[in-house]
Amino acid sequence: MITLEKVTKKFPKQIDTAIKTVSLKIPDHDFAVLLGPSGSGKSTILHLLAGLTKPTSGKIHINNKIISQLTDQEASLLRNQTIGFIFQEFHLIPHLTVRQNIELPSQISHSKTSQTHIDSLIKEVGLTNKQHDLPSALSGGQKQRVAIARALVNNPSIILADEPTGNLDQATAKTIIQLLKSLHEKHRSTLIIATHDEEIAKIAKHKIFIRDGQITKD
Amino acid sequence: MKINPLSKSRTISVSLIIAVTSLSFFLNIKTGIETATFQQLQQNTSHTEIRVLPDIQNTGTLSFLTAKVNKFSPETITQISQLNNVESVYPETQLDGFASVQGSVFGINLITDAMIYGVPYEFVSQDISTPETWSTTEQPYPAIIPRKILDLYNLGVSAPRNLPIISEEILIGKELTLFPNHSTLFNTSTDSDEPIRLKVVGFSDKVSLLGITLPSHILQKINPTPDLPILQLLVNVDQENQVTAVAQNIEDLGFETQYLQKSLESLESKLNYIYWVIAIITSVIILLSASVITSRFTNQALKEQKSIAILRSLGATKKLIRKIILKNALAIGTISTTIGIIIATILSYSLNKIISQNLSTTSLKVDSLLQIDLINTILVLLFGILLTILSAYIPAFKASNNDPLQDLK
Repeated sequence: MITLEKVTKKFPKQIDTAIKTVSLKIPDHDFAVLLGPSGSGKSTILHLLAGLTKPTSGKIHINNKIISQLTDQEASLLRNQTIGFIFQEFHLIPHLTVRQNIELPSQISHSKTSQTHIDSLIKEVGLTNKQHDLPSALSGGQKQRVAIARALVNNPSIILADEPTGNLDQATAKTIIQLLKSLHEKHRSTLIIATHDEEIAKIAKHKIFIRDGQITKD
Repeated sequence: MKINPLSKSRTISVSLIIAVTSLSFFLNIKTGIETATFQQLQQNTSHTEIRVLPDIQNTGTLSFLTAKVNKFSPETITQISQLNNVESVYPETQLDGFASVQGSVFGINLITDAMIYGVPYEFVSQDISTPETWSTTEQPYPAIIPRKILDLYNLGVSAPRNLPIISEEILIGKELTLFPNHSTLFNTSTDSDEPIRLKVVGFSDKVSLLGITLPSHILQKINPTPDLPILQLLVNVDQENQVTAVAQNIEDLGFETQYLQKSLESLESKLNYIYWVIAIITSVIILLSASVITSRFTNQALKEQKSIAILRSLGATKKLIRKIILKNALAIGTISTTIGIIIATILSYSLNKIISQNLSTTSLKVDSLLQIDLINTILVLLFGILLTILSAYIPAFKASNNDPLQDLK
C-alpha cells in the first residue's frame, strides 16, 4: 500500500508550491494513472514516491515505511529493490549495451540475478536480437522497452512510469502501454503512470486527476 | 561491475605518467649520484689519511702558484708528527722555478709548462706497486701524472676533436723530457738548464693536479736552491676513528685539512643543493599534474553527471557512486603509474648506457648514474596511486552529492 498524507512539496527558488497537501492511497497491485496537464505536479509525486526528493511536509508510506525519513542508503535500497522507475527520456547509459543497461539495477545491488531471468525479460520486451546493441542503435520505442525491462529486473513491487510515451509516436506509444499493462498483470506489481494522455487513462483501473499540485478527482 | 562513468581519461593518464616519470627519474638519479660519487670517493681515498694545506684564508688563493709562501717548515712537520695518533707525515714539495715538459704521443710532439712536484714513495704507494721504481737515482727518473688530467684531456680535448683517446696503458713507460728553468709562456726564461729524461711510471688521484710528480730526492737534486717549498702534507693516522680528531688538532695549528669524512660531508652538502633544485622542479611537475588530474576528474564527473544520476535513480547509494569513481581512479592510477615507472626505467637504462659509454675512456668507474631501486619503485607506485585517488576524491564526493533529478533534466 502506498499512502500520501498531506504531502506538500515546495522547491527552493520557486514561488509556486509544486504539491499542495496531497493525500492519496494506492492499494497493492493497482494500475493507477496520475492524469494532469504539464506542470501539474504528477512527476513530482512520482519523484517523491521514488525517494528521489523529500517532501517539504507530510508523510509518504510505502509498505509501512515512511520514506521521507529514510537515510540515503535506505532510500537507495528502496529504489533498487521495491521500485522500478521508467522515465520519459529513457535515461539509458549510452556506452552500455541493451543487456548491460537492463542488468544495471541488479549489479548495483550485487544481487545474483540469473541470466535466464535477464533473457526472459529481454524476450518479454521483444529485444532479443538487439541485446548487444548500444542505445544509439535503437529507436525510441526500443529504448523505452529497455527502460521497462531495466525497471523490472529486480522484480520490484511498484513500477513508476513518468510520461513513458511522451517521446514516442502514437502507434509505438500504444504498444508500450500495452506492454506495461501486460507486464503489470503478469508480475502483479503496482503500476503508477504519470501522463497527460487520456487514451492511457482509459485503460487504467484507478485514475487520479491532478491540477496545480492538488488532486482534483480520485 | 560494468558501471564505469569515468572511463575516458587520457589527459589524467598522461598527466600522471609525466608526474610519475619525473619522480621516478629524480629518485633514480638521486640514488645513482649518491652511489656513484660516494663510492668513487670511498674507493679512491684512504680512510686514514689527512691532507694538510696552508690555510688559503691566511695565505691567499694564488699562493700555491707563486710557491713563495711557505707555510710549512720542518718545525711544522715535527709539530704535526708529535700529535696523538699521527703515524707519519709526508711532505709534497714543489720545484722552485719554471719548468716545461715535452713528450710525444701518436707521433705528435707536445711541449707545455708544468709544475713539478716531489713526494716520497709513501705518498704514492697506492699508485706504484714497486718501491724500487721510485727509489732510482738514474735517468730516466720516474714520474707520476695526475689521473684527472688524463680524464680532462680525453673528455675535453680528444672526444670533441675526434683525436685518439690516451689511455694509461699507452702512457706507462713513455719517456718525457723535463726542461728546468724554461717556460713556453714567459720569455724571461728561454734558456733551459740541462734537459732531464723522465719516464711515466703511474697515475694518481692524490698528487697535485697542475703538473708532474717526481720522487722527493730527485726534486731535491734538480732544485736550484737547497730549500724546497712544501706545498702540502700527507698525514697518516693510526686509527680511522681518530681522523676527525687529528684533523681538528691540525686545523687548530692554523692549517686547512682534507680527509674522507670531510669530503663526504662537503659532497653531501653540494649534492643537497642539486637535489633541492631537482626536487623543486619535480614538485612543480607533480603539483601541476595533480591540479590537471583533479580538474579532469571534475570535468569528467560533470560530463558524466547524467550517467551518475541514472545510477542514483536506479538505487546506487552516494557511497557506491564514490566507490565507482575512486575504483576507476585506482585503475587509471595503477596503469598510468606503472607506465610512468616503465618509461623512467627505460630512460634511466638508456642514459646509463650513454653515460657509461662516454665515461669508458676515463678513470671514473660509474656503472649506473641512474639507479633503479626496488623500494623507490614501490614508493613511486604507491605515490602515483595515492595521488590519483586523492585527486579524484573531491570530484567523487561532489558527484555523489549532486541532486539526481537536476542532473536528469
